[in-house]
Amino acid sequence: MKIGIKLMGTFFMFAIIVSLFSYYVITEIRTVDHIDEEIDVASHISQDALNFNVENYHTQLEIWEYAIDPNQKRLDAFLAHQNTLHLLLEDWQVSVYEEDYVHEMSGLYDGGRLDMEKIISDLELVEQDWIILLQEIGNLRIMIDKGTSYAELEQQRSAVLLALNNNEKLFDELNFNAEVDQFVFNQHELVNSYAELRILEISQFTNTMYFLSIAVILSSLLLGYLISKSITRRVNLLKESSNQLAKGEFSQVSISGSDELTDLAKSFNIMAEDILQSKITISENLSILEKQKLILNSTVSELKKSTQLREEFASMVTHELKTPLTPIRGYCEMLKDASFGSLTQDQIGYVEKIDSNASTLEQLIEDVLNVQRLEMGKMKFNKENFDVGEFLYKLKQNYIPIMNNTLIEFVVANMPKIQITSDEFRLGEVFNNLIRNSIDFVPLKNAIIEVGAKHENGKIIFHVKDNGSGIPKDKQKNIFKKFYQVDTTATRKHGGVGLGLVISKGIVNGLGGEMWFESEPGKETIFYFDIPVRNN
Amino acid sequence: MKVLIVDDNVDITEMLAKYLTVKGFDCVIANDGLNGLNQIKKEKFSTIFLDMSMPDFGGRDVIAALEKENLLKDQRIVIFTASATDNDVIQELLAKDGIELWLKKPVQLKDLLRAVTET
Repeated sequence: MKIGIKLMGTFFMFAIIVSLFSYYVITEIRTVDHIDEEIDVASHISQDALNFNVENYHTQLEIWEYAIDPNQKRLDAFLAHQNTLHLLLEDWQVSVYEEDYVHEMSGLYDGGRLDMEKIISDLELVEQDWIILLQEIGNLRIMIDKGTSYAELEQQRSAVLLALNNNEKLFDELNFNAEVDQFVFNQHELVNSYAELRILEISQFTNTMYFLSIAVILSSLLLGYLISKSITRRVNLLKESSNQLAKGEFSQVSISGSDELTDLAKSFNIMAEDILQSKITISENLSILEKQKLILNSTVSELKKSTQLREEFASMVTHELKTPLTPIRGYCEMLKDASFGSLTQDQIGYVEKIDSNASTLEQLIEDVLNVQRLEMGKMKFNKENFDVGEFLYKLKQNYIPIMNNTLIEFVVANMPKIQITSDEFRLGEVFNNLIRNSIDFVPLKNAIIEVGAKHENGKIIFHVKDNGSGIPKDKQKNIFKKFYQVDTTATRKHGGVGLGLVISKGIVNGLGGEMWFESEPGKETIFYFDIPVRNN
Repeated sequence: MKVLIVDDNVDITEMLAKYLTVKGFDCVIANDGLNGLNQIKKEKFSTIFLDMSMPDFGGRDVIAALEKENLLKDQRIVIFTASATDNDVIQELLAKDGIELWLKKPVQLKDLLRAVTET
């Protein structure tokens, strides 16, 4: 709040000064009015006090007492108020300080004082006559009451008239009314002067206050300007540093003062350091990652090399292994053909045995090679369009001779007319593997092997079903493992090294499908595999 | 007060140098051990920051070269080590005359500043 307090303080100070000034001016004006009123009242009273008509005495003798009495009262009142005027004048004199006004008002005051003294002394003179007049009137009354003679009454009345005339003459000589008028006029002049003086005082004060206000406004503006400049300058410093930071450079800002802006600067500096620290940590971590990447790359290339070597080894080995088989099989063929002379039936049988074993060996080597290829994902598939129904038909034709020999019923559940894009040859191999297994596990009598296909959700689900001895539950999870063979108590010995299912599964996966089975020991086994209709 | 920063990571040396410059220090940068060694032989630094995980001519090579010419004890070296470095290795280096402090990477700015100001 410190910046806010500075600003608020400035405006508050200004507001107070303006209020004080206004208040002072207003109260001063009222004071002047007040004095004016008092003087007005006083002067009216003095006016009234002197407003008596001498003619009254001439016209009505009976009411002389009544005429005199009120005027007496008025005179008393006037004399009383002259004291008030005295005091007022004295009061005024105290606060007069302006030279010209002093002189004029002193003059008026002294003049007024003299007028007043003259009036008073005149009245004192008059008072003597009045007393005489009253005495004569009193005498007349007494004489009237006593019942004095008319002649004496007349005499007395003449005396009263004489006193009255004297009174009148005295008033004329004194020029009393004129004196009073003069006096009242002077009092008004005095009041006006006083009022003018007060107005002058006020206007001077007002002028002073105007200058003061202007000075205050200017200094407030200056103060405001300085404060806002200080704020703006510091904010600009902060803006500069922020821009630098935005460009990605490190910067610190140093700001003077002890208000919110300095706090902001401190926070900014801390933030800038945090950002730089983060950058350093990130850069460090990137370095480490780079180095790890290099290690990783070299490991990968080593792995590739080793795989390549393995491949070369495998193909070399299989080739080497297969080579001797060629002459073995060749000679067997020629011996059977009697190319070297005829052989006995038994001899032919022995040669058959040699040949079939060599063939088995050839197949086994091929299987091992296939497994190798499948494991490394190197098996190449020839995908072409063919019809599923036709495919199954051909399959069945292939197996007719074998089935006839072994008395197994071969059933094709259906031959759907659907086009599929896949490797026909490899699919044939899968079927061969599965059917060969089935052949070894079906019972001797009433053996049935069924093959079929079903179109579902863009895939063809093939199956091979047999009613053989099945796969025991505890062996089922191992069925797709390499070299695994379920121990068999079947009459037909199961040849091979246990790679058939591995290869079949591998081929199916390679063609984009899955293989699974259902087996109830002693009842039946069904192997399923699905192949997508389209190559995706 | 001149400071030398020897580290193969260009971004890091730039950032550290900028930071110390703002804080009022003159900075010299070397991005490999050999350059760093040449700089040390050329002028006197109040503090030398030496990264111990540089390839080719690394921190250890620099220290060995300085030792051979009996210049190591006149220096004030602060070593940067990777977090995986053995403690024994660090202690062995710190025991040498001329190697003052070690800072673990990533370097913390407040530790860096303390290392330069506490002479």
